[in-house]
Amino acid sequence: MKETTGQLPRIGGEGATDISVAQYGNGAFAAMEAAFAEAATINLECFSEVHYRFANLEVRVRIAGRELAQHFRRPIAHLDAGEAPPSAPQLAIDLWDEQETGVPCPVVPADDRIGSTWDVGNGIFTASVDNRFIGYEHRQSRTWLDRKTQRMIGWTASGKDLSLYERGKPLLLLVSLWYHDRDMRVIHSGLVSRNGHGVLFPGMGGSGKSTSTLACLCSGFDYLGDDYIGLQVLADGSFMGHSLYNSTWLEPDHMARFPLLPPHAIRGNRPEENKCLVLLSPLFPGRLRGSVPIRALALPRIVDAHTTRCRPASKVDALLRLAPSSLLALAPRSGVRDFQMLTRLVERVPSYWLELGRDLTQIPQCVEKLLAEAARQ
Amino acid sequence: MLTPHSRFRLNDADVTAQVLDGEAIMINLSTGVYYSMDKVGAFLWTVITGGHSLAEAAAAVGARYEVSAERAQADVTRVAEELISERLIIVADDVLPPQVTEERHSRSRLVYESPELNIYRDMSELLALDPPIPAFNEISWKESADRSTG
Repeated sequence: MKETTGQLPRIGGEGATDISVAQYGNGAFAAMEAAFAEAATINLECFSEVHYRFANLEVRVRIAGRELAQHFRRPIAHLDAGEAPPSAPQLAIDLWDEQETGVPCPVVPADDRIGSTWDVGNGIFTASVDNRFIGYEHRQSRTWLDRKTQRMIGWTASGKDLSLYERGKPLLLLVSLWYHDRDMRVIHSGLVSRNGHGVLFPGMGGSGKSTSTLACLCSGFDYLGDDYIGLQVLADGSFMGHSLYNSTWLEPDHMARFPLLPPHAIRGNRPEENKCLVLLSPLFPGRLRGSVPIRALALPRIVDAHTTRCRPASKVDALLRLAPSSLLALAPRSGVRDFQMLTRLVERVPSYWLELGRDLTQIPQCVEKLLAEAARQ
Repeated sequence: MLTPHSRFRLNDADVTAQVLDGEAIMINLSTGVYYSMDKVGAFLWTVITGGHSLAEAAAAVGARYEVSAERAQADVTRVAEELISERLIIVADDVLPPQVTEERHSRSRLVYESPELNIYRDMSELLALDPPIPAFNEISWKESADRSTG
């Protein structure tokens, strides 16, 4: 564990109250709520409320700031629930844009002297002493999750200045923690489906997850994600996969293998943003799904061959491909329970090696074949 | 210094492990390094983390596999030292001996292969940049499920 050291520069606006969620918990979170309420009423034209379904649970998102709303909504557009549900949401997310509303963040940045802080993904993760409030700061944004009330509230200096990371997978770490608190797990895997039957593509970066997922999408499969997927065990022991985002990040050379994508690529303007962002929702309307039962695991592996083929894999092979990156890549640190969940998955669902040759067009055929074989088991 | 009476426990603050289809898989969640041991190694993992001493583990291996007592003892000690070095297990002499039924020597013992710890360090470089966030306390959010979030 690498904890941060030293004082961080203050990034809140002028006039921000000097309080910390990590230290003052509920009171500071309430100050964030009050700031959001102020931002939401300053200019009603830039306020919006939209309802989504994350893992089949109701989520309400309110945003004060047009630009911020536009960027936040695109990668989750396929999870739009339409009308507001009659019941209270199981997660409420409130965000505001300081530049558009003029309302600064009332809470000071993370300070390693108060609570605990960790460097994660170019940002800082913070926990209050009792772990009820968990925050994430990334560049010019600061968002906190109150795990007890299942409420998230966040400030952004300017919706115009979001990184590609924030535009592609907004609030990933905190959403991942919310899944965890709901007895689900965000795993590192791609997921596609055919006729409602899901195939997971677990593996580390560079293993071929995105290639496999996008090749299937381009040939008629439904898409749920190419890197992060919500995993849930149902009461009967079967597994359900949930989509988080409809975005993909690809290096330009890699993207060129999918001719549909380059015209829609969004390029970053920072040196570290070497991948392009593509939002798939407008490109594949009707082909992005929220949740599917998982019927097979395909373990992608790039081989030096022309032909792509699939063959049965052992449960141990599947667990070795699935568990390390899933257990280690996201918050919070997993333990016995999560490892057991993944073990049960590989015990229940048949696994196959998907040996990726140079001909990408063969990937969907192989995945069709392994789905058919899995259905016979 | 290990003795034949040394006992061990899983370093469960950092490590999680499963035995699946006769193969043990262990992940050190702090370092990102993960491991596997098959056949004799998986059996040995189960015995060692089950509270058996080195001497008991060597005897169990000898009872199950076609191997001399000397070689079994040497292999068990070598593997235990490696598991300690990788911080997968911790010497814990306060561990109580497990209540076990004596493993009977079958007429045909299994073929013996020296146990090997396979080590995978491909995740550890990633974790050197972004160490995992530790586990958080459970929060009883369900108590407030009926609370208005508006």
